[in-house]
Amino acid sequence: MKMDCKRFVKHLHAYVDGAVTPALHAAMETHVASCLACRREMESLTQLGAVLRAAPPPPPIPEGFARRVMARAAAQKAPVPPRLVAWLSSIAWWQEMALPTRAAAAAVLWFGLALGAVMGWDVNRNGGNPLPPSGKPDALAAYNLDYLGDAPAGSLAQVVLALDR
Amino acid sequence: MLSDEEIMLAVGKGDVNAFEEIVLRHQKMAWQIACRFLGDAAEAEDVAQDAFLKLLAAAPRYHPSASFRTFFYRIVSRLCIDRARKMHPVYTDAPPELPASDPSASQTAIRTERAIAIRRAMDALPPAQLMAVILRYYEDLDYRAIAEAMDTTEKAVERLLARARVALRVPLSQFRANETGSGGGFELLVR
Repeated sequence: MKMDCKRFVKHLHAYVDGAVTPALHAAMETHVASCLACRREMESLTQLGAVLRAAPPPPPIPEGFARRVMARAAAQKAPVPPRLVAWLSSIAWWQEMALPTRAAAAAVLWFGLALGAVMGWDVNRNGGNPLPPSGKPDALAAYNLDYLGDAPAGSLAQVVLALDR
Repeated sequence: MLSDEEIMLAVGKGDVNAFEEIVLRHQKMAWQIACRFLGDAAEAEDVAQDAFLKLLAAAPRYHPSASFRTFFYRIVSRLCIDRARKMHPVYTDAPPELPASDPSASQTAIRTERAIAIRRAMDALPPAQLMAVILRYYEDLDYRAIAEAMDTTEKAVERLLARARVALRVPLSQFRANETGSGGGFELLVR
């Protein structure tokens, strides 16, 4: 493998950290043995590493550290019940959805449930009895859905039909 | 003896008492990283404790697909970097002057001066570079482990270390590792 100073400097940091391939390592080793400038560059990094490692270690961990962690852990709220988390985690398609999409899905579900509740309340306004007093089922009148009929009250069609009578 | 992964799975199922073993095994690692990164004992303990509490909160979702140690390194690194962004360092004065005629006092002064110079040089690094330096030089992690801990690529780790070394070389070029050997107390700078 061909090695020049430019290539050597490019890979120098990885070389010092032992993060180059064996072939590259061998080529760099050969180059640095014969190139004073590159050798000085490498030695400078090596020396820096030695100085950093010579820094005194941090003080010992404070007495009672583990005890304090466990005390805080006990005071913390209990994490989400494992079974619920496991169930949620098992719904892969839910997990894969982006947060805005999840929010939109939840909103649609809520709206659907709310609409159903309103319509159910509307049906029950007449005591829950969908049949008019005559006993004959008139769905449009019973459910106040005349606006779905051909000539709802107040519509042009109703006026036209009334004129025809 | 149960592995870290096995203990975490048990904690995830509700065995909080088992978590103490995790704390005892990894408290030194969390403390040392936080100490070296933040340079303040009180902040370091706070962050180290928070790291364990975050780990506990994540236990129900923990999957041993990656090494526990890597998983925990990531939590500690992230908390340290977040905390550093909120802190404003204040440095102590120059090292105390000691009589030159006392060789041991002179060596102590050099060690202290070197320790403070290292502290200051590291504090001047951007958080990501500092964390890469700590994980490389003091936790002896390779590029792949550092990349996993910092949630980045190996190439990015190489660049972080390269830039950090350029920044550290100038203030530390006057020192040699074998001048007085390692050791001595680590005087944490007051913030």
